[in-house]
Amino acid sequence: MTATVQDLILSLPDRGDRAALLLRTSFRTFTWSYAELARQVRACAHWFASQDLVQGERVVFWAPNSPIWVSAYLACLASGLVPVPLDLHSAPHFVERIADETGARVLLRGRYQTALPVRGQSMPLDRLEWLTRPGEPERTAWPALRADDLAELMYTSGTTSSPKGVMLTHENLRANLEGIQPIVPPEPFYRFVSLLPLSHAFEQTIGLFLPLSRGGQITYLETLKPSALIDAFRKDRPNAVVAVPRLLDLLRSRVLGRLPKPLRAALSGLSPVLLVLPWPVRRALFAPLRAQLGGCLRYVVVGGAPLDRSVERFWDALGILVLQGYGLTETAPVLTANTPSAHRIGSVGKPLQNVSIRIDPDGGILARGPNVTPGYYQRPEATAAAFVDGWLRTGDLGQFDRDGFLYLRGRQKDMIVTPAGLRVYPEDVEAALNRQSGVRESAVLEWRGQVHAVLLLDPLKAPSALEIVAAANRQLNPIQQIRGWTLWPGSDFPRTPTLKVRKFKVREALASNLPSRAHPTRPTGRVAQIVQDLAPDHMVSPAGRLGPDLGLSSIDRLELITLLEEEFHVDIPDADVTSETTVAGLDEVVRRGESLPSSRPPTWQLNRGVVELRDIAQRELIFPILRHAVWLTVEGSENLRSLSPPVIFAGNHVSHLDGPTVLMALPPWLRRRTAVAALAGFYFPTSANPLENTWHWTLFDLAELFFNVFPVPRARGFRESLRHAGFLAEHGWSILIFPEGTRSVNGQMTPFREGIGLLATELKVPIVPFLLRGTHRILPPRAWVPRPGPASLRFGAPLYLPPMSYGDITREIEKAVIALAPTIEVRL
Amino acid sequence: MFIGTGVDLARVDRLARLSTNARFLRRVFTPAELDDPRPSHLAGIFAAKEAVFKAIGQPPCWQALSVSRAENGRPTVRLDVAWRDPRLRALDVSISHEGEWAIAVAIAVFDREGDGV
Repeated sequence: MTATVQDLILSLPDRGDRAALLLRTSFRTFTWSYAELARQVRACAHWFASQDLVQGERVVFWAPNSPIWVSAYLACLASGLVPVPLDLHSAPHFVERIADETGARVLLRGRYQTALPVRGQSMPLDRLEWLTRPGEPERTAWPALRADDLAELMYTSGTTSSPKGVMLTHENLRANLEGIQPIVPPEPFYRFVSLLPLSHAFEQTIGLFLPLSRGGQITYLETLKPSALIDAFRKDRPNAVVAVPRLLDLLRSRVLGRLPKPLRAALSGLSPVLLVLPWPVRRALFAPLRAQLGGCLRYVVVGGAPLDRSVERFWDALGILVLQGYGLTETAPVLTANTPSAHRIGSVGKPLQNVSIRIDPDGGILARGPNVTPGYYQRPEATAAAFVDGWLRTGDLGQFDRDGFLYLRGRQKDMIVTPAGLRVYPEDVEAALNRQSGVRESAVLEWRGQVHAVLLLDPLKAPSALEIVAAANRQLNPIQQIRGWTLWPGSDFPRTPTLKVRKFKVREALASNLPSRAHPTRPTGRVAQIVQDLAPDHMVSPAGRLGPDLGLSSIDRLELITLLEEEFHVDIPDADVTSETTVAGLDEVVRRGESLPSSRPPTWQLNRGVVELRDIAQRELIFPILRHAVWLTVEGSENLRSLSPPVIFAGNHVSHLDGPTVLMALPPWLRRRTAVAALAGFYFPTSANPLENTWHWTLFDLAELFFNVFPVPRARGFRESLRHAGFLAEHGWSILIFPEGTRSVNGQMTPFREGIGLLATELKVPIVPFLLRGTHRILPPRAWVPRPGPASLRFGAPLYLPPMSYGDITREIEKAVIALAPTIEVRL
Repeated sequence: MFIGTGVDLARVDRLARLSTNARFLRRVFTPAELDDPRPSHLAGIFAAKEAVFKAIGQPPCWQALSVSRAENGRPTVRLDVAWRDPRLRALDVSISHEGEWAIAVAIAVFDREGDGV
């Protein structure tokens, strides 16, 4: 018997300093070793205990994937608390309702998820991360958990009127992990890139527990746009990912997009032929293509939505095995899976060792095993309806082939699953339709992969079906949009004895060529379709302008941008989508977003050789001269002794001499690994005089060489320089910055710019405040020849600030600098 | 001296629907503004920001502009220095709510009339 999830969590420290979790944000990469993950889990568990949460209490999670999400989740499981992970796309009122139904007193949320639970507190995860930072108390004693203790509650996403919470016990989780272990090949250490939300049972078991149980490494990404994805694949070289079909499609077009056109066509057409070649040959043949994905990718585990066979063949042809699996949240989640040694295209594989699958006379798939849920939370009727003689009704139809491979044949339940794995509940769409006047009843089902409505209208009152559908679509979310409809010819739908609509009969009628209509104005391109969903009353054409022709307001345009970003995984600047932008122009905007150029300041000045050269130049030449001009006294050096870089040095700016002076005051071990942020606005003033420009550039190159300066532009390119700052921090470089942004004219301090708050927050490094006085008299602005004189520099204690708004953090840093000299004049 | 005005109207139910869209919230509002996630509050801030962009005649830079409430309930706006036109001297905004609508008016005062503004 394999270890329980609690055993797994408590044994994390055994793997020591090996990397467990990586977080790639747009600014930098953070690494959690197994030891650090274990420490954070203990600290989170201590925090939970300090909130008087007792064993069995529920904790709601509503946040994007991140290491702190994982730590808090594992802390819950290890201490017998019950996590309730909710989908990121849940509506706030749904979250509040679940928090209420489960009686949760703590809601852990992302920075941008906002909900107000009825009771208890709503805690942002970044704040929890700060509360559980190194040095905070840790939990040491753990409760003994029983196999049938509730481990977690899983609510599926969607807006259905009666959400059901699937109860999973500790035995369920353990059993499924045990079931998948034998079919996973024994790679020494797995590297995963996480693509699915952790609120998804597949991601928890295969993307989290499995890698942790093998000492593997998991990368979490802040954004899934293709450039970030490809970047992470290249750097972290994963050997496996867990995905939904939509993501595989996206990766395929990304990989193909880099090939010359003829080769692309050949590859898309040829894959069935290529499959004849032996696997090692294929792997060798397509090594360059796979190199784009890091070169180590061997397995893609897919589940959650039907997979197109051509997608499966494409990856197989490249020598990357697509292992389709099948399971439900109710089964924690895996029931069947293809394995590297036994897989068939189109099949979802064989049942796991400890799982039994049976097909009932109607073709329905029944499942039994230690991983099957005991039922739904506080819903005995739903639980009773879900089981027949101890077997779980999966609601899916299927059949086995002669060799025991399972093939899915559709669904008994009428939930609609989009290719992205998102669920549309027909009852929600029906409710919107039934509210329209003239609609007697409606039946919504999936037809040719789309949301389709079958309408039973009152002939006397009804407006046209088109108007009804358009009116209903206005009330529905983008993924719920009705894409086609059929008028029901009879006087009533076929019904069950309990008067429910028999949807399979309706479906049969549809199949027998009942005249149905696609949305007449429905455009073909995906971009145009998204626009259409936002402007249901207008005819969308490529030349249509968003404002004048389609009536989109500024807020509609913002929603459009976010929908496009979501769909195509790109970043789109606000300025690219104006009311004059045409639909065809949007295609261009999306394409541009996919190939965002990443200009980065040069890194030559960080080379070891350059560092040595700079060190010698500073010690032998620059500082001796500087000491003649600046008679410096340094206070607060003791605050520097226990620093562990990277840190940010932040202080006031009064003279050109400030950068060199602060560097001179730093102990060599800190100085050698410190870069200076300089406002590009000063170094690159666009002067009319080209000679002056050349002079400024030369100055800047010298500054790069001798003082390790990097440019921070005032507005444009700001993100690039932030990313560079992130790159520096990630590699242990400290940063010296003058957040006033400009030198003050008379030695007084001006307010700090909020960029410093942003840097401190996103880079998560401590701030060391300092205060410089006197240099403005030695070399005032616009002066060229220094007048030697005294100056003083004082370092404060490092600040470890809790998460606050950028503005508040900026004020805190400002206050800390001011506090170093109570007499300084402040002009605000 | 030169004055710019801007006005904007926002529907509360529109913001209510968009409050499930984290991407939208992250784009438009600062974390502090989201401390009060009621749709009517967000609609007011949205209208205020739009009005300010109109008043200063600049393309939107949502994160650089923050709206907060002073002690007396009056809204105050802060525009990050990096985005501020150096000629901008003062900026004021007023917000009002009525049922399903929030409206905001903004006034920007510049030092002297510039080219093309």
